[in-house]
Amino acid sequence: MSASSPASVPAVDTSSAGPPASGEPLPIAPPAAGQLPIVGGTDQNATIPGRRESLAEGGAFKGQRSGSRIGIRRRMPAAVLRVLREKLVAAPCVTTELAEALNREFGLQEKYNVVQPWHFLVRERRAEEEERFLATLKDVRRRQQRAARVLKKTVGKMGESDRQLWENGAYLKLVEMIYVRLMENKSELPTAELMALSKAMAEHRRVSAREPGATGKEAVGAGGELPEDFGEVVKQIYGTNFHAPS
Amino acid sequence: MMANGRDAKEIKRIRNELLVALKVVYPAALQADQLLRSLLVLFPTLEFEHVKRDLCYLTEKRYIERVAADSESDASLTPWRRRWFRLTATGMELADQCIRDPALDES
Repeated sequence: MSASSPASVPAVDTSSAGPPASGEPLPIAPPAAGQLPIVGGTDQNATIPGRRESLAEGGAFKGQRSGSRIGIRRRMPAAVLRVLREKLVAAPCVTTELAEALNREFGLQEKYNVVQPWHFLVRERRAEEEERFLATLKDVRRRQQRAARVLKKTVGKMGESDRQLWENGAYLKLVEMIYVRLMENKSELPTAELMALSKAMAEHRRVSAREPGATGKEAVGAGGELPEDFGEVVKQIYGTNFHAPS
Repeated sequence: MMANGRDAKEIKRIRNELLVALKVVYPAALQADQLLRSLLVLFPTLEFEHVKRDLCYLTEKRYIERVAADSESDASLTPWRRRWFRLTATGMELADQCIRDPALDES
């Protein structure tokens, strides 16, 4: 390219002869209009989208934004951040005295424009808690789905077809026990709970047999008996029921 | 942070979990004590008083209703922990996300 080319802009101003005097700025030519400076020796102008437009509008580079808008991790060297984290975690509680001591030690406010150094830890802990919650929720949902499947298969049809069962104590107790057992992921049924269920069902049968129709519970069959499949369901779950062998 | 020490997001989560638990056993009901036990897995610091408030709230919104079991001689004397609750039709629609309630919307 010839030196007389109108489009050519020299990177160094060679008009003045001889070395510059002490204290004088180096004769680096200012970038011409439309020409962007190369940052860090890499051709970032071409790879960062929007940078050219941002600079043309007089905007700053991404790394040159005001301190409050940049995350602490990007402002502070990793080594300093690690030590700061250790000190914060080791402290029983963050006080203004501790914050001032850290500020003095690391020059947080002067060097990095960090006023509240514990905020990044709070955010991190919240994110960890959220992650733990979602993992637990996933497990709970899996158990609930399993409970829903078992309930639908065993007592679901009874409740859907017989509205009166909704207030039947034995039915409610049975549903609750299945749900709670499956949700707690336990395979054994305590004797106390089995006895409670037995009593509830026996009491229900006794009341129904004594006053057929008086309680208005048409859920029980004729003669004060529970629905036909109720005993079968109990037998499937607990291995026995209250019906005497025929 | 709300007055009861829980933020709005967690309050909504707790109320939604109550609905989901009741949805699993629908059309049957669950006792308030069992609801608390199932929620403790997700919210270990939850107290019964909070669950009680939420049950009242959801009842007033007609999403759940109290069921007086035939074993309860006097429903008004039944302790809160022993009271049965079940989803209403509207509550089921909400739990199935067929309808939306901004007060319970977590997003």
